[in-house]
Amino acid sequence: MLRLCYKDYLAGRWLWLATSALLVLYIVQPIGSSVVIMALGAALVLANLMIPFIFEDKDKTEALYSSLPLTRAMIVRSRYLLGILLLAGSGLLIFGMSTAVGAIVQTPIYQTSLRPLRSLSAVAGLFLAGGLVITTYLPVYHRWGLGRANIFFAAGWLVVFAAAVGLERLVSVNLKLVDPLLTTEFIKDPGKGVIGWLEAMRSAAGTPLFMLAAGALLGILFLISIRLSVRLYEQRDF
Amino acid sequence: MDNALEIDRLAKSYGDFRLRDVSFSVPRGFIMGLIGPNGAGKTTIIKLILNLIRRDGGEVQIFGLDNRTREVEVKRRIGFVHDSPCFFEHLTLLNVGRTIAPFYPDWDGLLFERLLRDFDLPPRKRFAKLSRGMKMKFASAVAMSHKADLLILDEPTSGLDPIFRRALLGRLSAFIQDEGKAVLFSTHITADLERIADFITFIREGEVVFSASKDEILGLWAVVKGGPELLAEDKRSLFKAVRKREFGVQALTAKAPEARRRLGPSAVIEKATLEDIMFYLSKGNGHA
Repeated sequence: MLRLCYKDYLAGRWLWLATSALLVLYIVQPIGSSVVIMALGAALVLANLMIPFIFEDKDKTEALYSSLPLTRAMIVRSRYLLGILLLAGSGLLIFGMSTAVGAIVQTPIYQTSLRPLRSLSAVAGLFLAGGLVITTYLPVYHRWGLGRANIFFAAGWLVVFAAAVGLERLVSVNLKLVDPLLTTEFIKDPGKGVIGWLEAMRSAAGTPLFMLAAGALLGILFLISIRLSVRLYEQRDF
Repeated sequence: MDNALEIDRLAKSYGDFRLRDVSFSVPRGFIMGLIGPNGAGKTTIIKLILNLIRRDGGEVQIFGLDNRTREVEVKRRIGFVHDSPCFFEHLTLLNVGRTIAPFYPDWDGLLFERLLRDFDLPPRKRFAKLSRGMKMKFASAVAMSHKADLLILDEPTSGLDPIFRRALLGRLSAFIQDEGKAVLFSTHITADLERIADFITFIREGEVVFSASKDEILGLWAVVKGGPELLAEDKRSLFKAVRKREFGVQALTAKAPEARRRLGPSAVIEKATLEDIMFYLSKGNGHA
């Protein structure tokens, strides 16, 4: 599987470097919101994952790599491994940079956005968010290929977000089941809100149990997604 | 005879196209040419051998191993050239080699670099900058760099200049000097097959018309030229295809000795080339 990741590295390394520079640029900006950095981190995992796929799609190399001594299952699993490696890379970059920049620049606007990112809960949050992106995107990609997968994936998440906002409005404003202040605060900086929520769970369950639960959740997501992707990719003709 | 490749009742349908009960084998130490008009199913057969598409039925065995259940083992022994070589366009030839080498335990880096030199391919040139002919040369170099036992080539000589075409054919002939190896070679350029192939399989509309040794085919098949009397009922059975021309009749027979005996001096009988056979047997060219 690492051999396939090496092939992707050779194909995408310069663009990966460019997207990493973009992420660093965002971290050193006085953004004042952890969610922008968190969302960018998760989005960049997907963008970086797509870079070799874009080259594969443009140069039609899927037939070539499917002709090599590999099974479709090996090819699929290597793409998940690549996703995990890119996620770990993004995580290292975000937490390394936020620690470094946060130590050097003490102004409140930097501290507001960077302090939440340096917690263990933020690490878990990024991995869960990135894992969710990878495990939902790859089955769609393996079923439909790059072009249609991107449309269906983007449309699918738009529907989920629209439904979530609609539901939030319904319960807090129309039905008044929840204090609107709670949700309004959450919407101001969902990054901090999510991290805060995870932080509360970590305090309640204890760090080992919390990390174990997060790891187990990710593991289950990946297992289901990989099995589905293998089945879908084995149906593809080149 | 020990077979490098055995295809048994292979079937595949998509859209209007149907590949029906295709069976043939390629013995070790020989070159099999796969010919047929456009859309006959040659590329589909090659894709089925490489598991690039799912089959509806039949079996493919390579060196006695099933190509699906023993996929990795089987593919390690195959070198392939697709009809349109697809590699990462923005990488240099050396880097393309680096993306492929790790998958073959027998990859020979020195051989790969020597082949690039022999084929006049600049190793630091990007794949995108190569002409079609150079791309085919590069794909051939990749296919020959991991000591494959079976080469599967889909139109490898299209776009090549005559000098390199001959050089490639020479390399294929040299390749099968090791009697454990074999070549399956699909092409429209039938002259190439007349030069090097030992066996020919002709595919038309998804079916095998014949699969036999080249010498047998060229000995039995002939073009018959004569007057309208060739269309007589008692003679029609001699012909696989008949074309009426302004000044007479031309027909293709797979029974050249019998045609010579029965028609005598009333007809001119010439040895058929593979191109003649393909031309007469193709749809719309008067096959009987």
